[in-house]
Amino acid sequence: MEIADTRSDDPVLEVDGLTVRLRTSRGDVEALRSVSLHVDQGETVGLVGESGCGKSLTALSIAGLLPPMSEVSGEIRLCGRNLTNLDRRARRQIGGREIGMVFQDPVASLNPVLSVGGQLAEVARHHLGSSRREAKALATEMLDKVGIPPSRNILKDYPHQLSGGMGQRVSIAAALICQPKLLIGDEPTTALDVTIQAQILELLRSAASDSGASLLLITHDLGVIARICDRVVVMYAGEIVESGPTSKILSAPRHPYTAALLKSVPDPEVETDELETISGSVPELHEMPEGCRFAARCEYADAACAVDPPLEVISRGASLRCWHPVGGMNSAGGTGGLSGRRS
Amino acid sequence: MVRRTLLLLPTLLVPLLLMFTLLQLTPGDPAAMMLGDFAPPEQLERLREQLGLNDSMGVQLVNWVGDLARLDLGTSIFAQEPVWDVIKSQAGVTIHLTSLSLAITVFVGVGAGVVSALYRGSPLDQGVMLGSMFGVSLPQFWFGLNLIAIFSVGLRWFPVGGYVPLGDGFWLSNRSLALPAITLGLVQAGFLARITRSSILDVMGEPYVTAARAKGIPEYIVVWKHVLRPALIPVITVIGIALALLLSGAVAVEVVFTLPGLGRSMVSAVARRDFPLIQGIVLVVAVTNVLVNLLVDLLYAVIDPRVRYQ
Amino acid sequence: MNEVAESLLKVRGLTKVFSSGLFSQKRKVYAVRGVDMDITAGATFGLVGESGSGKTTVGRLIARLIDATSGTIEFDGYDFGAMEGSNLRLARRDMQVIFQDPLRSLNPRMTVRQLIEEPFRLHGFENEAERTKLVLAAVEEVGLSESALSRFPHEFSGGQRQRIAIARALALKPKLIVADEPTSSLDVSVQAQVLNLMKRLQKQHGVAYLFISHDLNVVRFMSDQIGVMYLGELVEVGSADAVFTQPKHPYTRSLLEAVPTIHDSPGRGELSLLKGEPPTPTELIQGCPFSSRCPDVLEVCRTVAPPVVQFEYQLARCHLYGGESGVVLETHPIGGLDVEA
Repeated sequence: MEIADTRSDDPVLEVDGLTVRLRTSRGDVEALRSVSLHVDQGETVGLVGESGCGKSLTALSIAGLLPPMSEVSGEIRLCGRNLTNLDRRARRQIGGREIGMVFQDPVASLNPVLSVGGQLAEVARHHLGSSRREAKALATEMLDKVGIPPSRNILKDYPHQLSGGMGQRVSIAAALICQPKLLIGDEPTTALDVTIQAQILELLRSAASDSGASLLLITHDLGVIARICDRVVVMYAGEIVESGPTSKILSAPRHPYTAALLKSVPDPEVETDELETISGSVPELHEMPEGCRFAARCEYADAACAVDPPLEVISRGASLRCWHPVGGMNSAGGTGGLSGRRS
Repeated sequence: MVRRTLLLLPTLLVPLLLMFTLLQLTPGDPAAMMLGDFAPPEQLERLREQLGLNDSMGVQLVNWVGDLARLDLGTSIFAQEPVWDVIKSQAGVTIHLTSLSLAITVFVGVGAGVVSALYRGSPLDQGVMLGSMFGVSLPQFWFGLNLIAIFSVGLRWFPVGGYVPLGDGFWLSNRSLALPAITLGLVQAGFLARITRSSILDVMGEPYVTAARAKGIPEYIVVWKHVLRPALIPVITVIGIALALLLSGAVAVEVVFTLPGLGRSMVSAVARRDFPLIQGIVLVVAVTNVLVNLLVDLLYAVIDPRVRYQ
Repeated sequence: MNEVAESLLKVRGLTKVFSSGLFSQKRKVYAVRGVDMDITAGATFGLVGESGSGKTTVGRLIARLIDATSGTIEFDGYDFGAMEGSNLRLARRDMQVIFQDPLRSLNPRMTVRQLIEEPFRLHGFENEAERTKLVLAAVEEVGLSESALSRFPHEFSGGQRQRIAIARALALKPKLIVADEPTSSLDVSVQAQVLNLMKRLQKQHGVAYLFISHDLNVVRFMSDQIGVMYLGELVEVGSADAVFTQPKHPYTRSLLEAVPTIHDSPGRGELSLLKGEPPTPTELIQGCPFSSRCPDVLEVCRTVAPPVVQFEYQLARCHLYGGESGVVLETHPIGGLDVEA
């Protein structure tokens, strides 16, 4: 099913109030609460947070890969079209055709008993109806675009014969082969060596843009965000706490968690003997506090934080969920929406 | 490859040596078996001498191995015929039975395992797991006897025993083996079902299956191409083990259903202390086992690219 | 190099060749080739490199977890590399190891108390009451409470498990701790806590660290001295400040440029990214191991092993500095490779 061409200023991806409940051995938990974000045409947006914050789950929800025992509410719109009320078959069709995904471990995300060429071709053959020969040509062309020239002849190779960097290039080729509108990378460089990581990050950005795809990059590494993301969304304990242009967020974070996170990363330009730390630890999913989830660890918390602050949209592409942002209320650029609850 | 074939010889030697030693240690005198307990001692002595039973164990072993090298399995004490002829006449039945059983084991076992895994948690899954647990725990002869009671005596669908050779009619022949094959095969099917199920569940959790779904591949193709193929590879190796178990199970089943196969022959040979026949049958079974496993290993290398391209 | 402070650990010509296979299938991996390094007492030596660089192997060789093919390890004045038996066991009191994955390096069937008590037990602390006191002190020092003693490793978070591992390593007050990627599996905020802890303990106890990691930002924060490894060789070594701000070896430069930091930005344009992949160390390489990817490669680099060039605060193994910027030391032979391993 084709998604109709839209006007170029419509966002490619809009996630609106996404809430996901999972069934676990300890009962139902709310793994994601009211996640809202968007990716515009040609943008690269980073989704950052520590383990358990829900960033991977958000990516899986967008790609329609949640396990069956989950309850999803909210809307996910791709080029204006609502994905959440599609039936399973139609939803599955979106993957590969409109949304391409690259995972963390390149060799593990390729089927070990099928050839590389076969796994590339199957995407084209299924979605584009290509013949075997057409698919092979397309695969070869795509591999070339990701930096593996035809002379390498890897179509007949098997995944275990590829290095990490090569494997990731193949995954990117497979994700982009049908020219999707959105490319999602879930920690795509975490498992790679430093110099290879740099190559792959650059490749993600350029290949996505060449293909006309926008990029949603999931990572825990703030440096990666700085390097290729135009905007960044920060998540904590299943919620979005802050979002905005990368340079702004990294230089002047508003949410106390973002600020604390930035200070705990070893910064090459700062001479120091001690890193700043965040006291306490992330609350467990089944023991989530009422009110602001970060309050227990926040130095600015007070009685107002017993109520979970709403995610306030500051401007297009920037939002904040906090009663006491770093730097005070005035510089938030508009207090509209906050009912001034502060005792 | 070469190394593996070379390893065949010592693998064979161990069971044979073990068996040889055990036989020598068992009480019972073949000569007395043949002539009766009340035969005069000199006659017994002469027969023993004739049969080479008075030689030391070492000498007997050497003689036997020497004969083997000339492909001579010796002469059955009881039947007074070459062991090889005796085996030949009975092997057909056992081969027919084992093949049928293997077919049942594979189709029922793997089939149940696949269904069980794909519908994990459902009553179907639980039923299969329960059934397979019974299968692995039940004694085969008990199961066989019950089948006879219900289906042969009660419902009269199948003969109580005996074997109809293939030459006498395809369906008739297989009908005579139906119950025995089901007895043997179903029990092993339980074992295979569990292994298939866990292999498939392992693969389902692998990142490459999620990645395949992310590519938009419909679920039935994901299951067929991305799950079953890698998952069934280890199952194939287990079939080699299943065959060994089937061969040993054939003994009990052939006795229960009075089939003139190697299993039943083995039981009576042991009762009669017919050493050459016993040794011959064990050798044949051991060699078959080893060859099947070798074949399975080679198959593995062919179908799993990780093994092929190292 | 700092000849002033007497080195706690002196490694010369350390080489490790792994052989596997039989007859015609014999394969060799030249994991570590002729490494020389010095670690000063109470200081941190950071060892960085990518996969295949040999940094983990160096850590294991120094800790005597595997034996070297050739080379010497001098620790605290004695020939540590040649020690055996009970001598070695005694000497191990002074050198401990911390691994990357605390789940796997802590016996899951032992309580925290048993885990930390073990080194005391093994090294002759007979009195149980005394041991208990020491164990409690160790646990509190890493920020855990007494209640932790009766629990098992799996009941703790990753960061807490690593603290337990640190407590165990520090139990006997060693002079050197070899830490192999100690924070790589931890979240950023937890990592900060563990790194702070390690620094504090270093100040308090004067323990030296051999800090092995692929994360350059972390190594930079922790280290006084740095060694950069590529394909089994130490290509640059020196004071952390010097190496990070004025890298002399092209690989060090490429590495630093490749590491993403929060000061990067998308609009920086084409970085001079290193192309290709590092080859696996299965061949004896003529010349410089980096020659296949070096952006400044010269003809001579491919055939002649580069000399060690001495600068004010660092050493680099490179052909690019023909006598102008630094003093060229005697071309240092890569030890032990003529010997059939």
